[in-house]
Amino acid sequence: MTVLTSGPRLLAARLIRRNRGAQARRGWILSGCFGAMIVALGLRFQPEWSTTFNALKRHLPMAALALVVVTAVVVARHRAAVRADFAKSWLAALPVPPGIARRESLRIELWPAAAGIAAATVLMSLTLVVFAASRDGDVTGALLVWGWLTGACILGAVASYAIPQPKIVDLPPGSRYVPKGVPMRGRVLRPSLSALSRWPVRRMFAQANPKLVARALMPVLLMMGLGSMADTAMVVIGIFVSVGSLTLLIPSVIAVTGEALRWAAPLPLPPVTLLRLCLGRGLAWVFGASAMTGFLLTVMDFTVAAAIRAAVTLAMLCTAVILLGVWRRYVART
Amino acid sequence: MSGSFALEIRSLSAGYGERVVLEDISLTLAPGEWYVLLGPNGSGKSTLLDCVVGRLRVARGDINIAGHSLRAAPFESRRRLGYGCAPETLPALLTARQCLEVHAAAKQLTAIEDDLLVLADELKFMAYLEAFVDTLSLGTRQKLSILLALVGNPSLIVLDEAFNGLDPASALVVKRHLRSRLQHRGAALLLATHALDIVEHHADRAAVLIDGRLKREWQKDEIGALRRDGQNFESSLAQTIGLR
Repeated sequence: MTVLTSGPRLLAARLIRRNRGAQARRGWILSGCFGAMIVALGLRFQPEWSTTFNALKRHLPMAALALVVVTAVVVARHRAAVRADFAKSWLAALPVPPGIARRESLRIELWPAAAGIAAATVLMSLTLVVFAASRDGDVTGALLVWGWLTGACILGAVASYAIPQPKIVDLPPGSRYVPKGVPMRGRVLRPSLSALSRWPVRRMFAQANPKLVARALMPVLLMMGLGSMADTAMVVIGIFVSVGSLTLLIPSVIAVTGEALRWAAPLPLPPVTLLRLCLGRGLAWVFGASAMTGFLLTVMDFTVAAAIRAAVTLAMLCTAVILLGVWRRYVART
Repeated sequence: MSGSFALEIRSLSAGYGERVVLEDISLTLAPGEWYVLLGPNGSGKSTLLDCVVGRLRVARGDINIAGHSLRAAPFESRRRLGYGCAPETLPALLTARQCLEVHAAAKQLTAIEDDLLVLADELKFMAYLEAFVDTLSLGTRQKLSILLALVGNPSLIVLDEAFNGLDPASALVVKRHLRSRLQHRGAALLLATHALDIVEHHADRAAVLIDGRLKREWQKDEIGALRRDGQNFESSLAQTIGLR
């Protein structure tokens, strides 16, 4: 008989990861390392980035305190969600020795803090490598920042046990956040494919849970310097809204196209028509949001040329990601 | 000759990747016929339906719907097909009205048939027309799925576990409607289910699928004899699958 040593939840998670294959995992790790490398290079070679780094170093105790609070809240919420999920899990009724169950719970519940420390460590290691390769850079400063931030994560994780456990509420169906059109009650049913073109944008709205959006906006506003004008804040919020909508729209268009191809497979509808419908309004949104971002950048004292360049780059990047994702779904279906 | 069948499957084999799920299936459905597909979980019923509706590419064999090959004439064959998908695969962010309108437009209808609206009314579904699919209960989604399958007066109706989650009154309304549609419009119905009472009371023919092969078929007269003798279908099925 095999003796359970790591706890059933961790074992199940490991088996699921193995079933999904190493390729997806490798992709995530490589993307993470690539992103960290970009940041490390930016810290060394981009003057603006090193200015931000120096500002962080100057206000290290304050930043660490903020990180303690954020980590405590995130870990406490994660713990509450994990416990609520586990109560409904297929593994809930398994007999597990108390010692193993305790260790397993700790590892699962402290995961956000561990991930934060791991990310900071990877970033610091790569930064040190870049500094060493260029024989320049503030090594002591990097180690100091890493030490403070790691310590803050650990303190935050401990503090999470001291704050009251937040109540987890089941999210309502996504359609609650979708803007409702003119009521059609009593109108005759008219054959029309137009609903398909609205589907991706609706999914974008469905994912924009107001609470999550507010939480995402808060750090953006906190990052603004003291003494900023209200009109600057409005422009920043505007840019946040247009870029945020694109962040939600891209996966929505890709996912909806896949779902639509599957749902409409038994219908006499050419795939090209379906793709046109799913992409049309989504791409129109991409161009609109990019143009809006460009306009808002001009309000923030960017030159018109720089704003146009930023808007065109944003639109092209989003369009390329959408087309690539949709193409992969289309090939997978056909 | 194939034009006289609502559905004709010849030597069909299909699977997922290397795994073969269906092997050498041949089956015909005449217009007006109610055909029930039975089988244990994982025997390949849903896979067979996926092949028939064109959601899964077949490895070998042919499928003709109302005389049109699914491979050679996909649009003609799909125009004559009505498929009731699993309720959880309906698009969550469309309203019930929009689902019906999309199906009708895809089948190039100018309006939705009156008898479908009558059925929707009998099922007390009209009140949910403006509701998003993700707010509907399982039974209401099941009703929508059945209504979508009936849009455009299809020659072949394919339903997968369509009576799951339906209340008894609604299930009765649907069964009566399907029987009337089969009798008066010459449509054929292919229904995958675990409910043996449907075979006993409604089916014209039935078959059991085991390990991807059609193990046995019950013809109209055999089912008729069971009904006449007051026997239940369960014992006949138990014999076939080797249960004592």
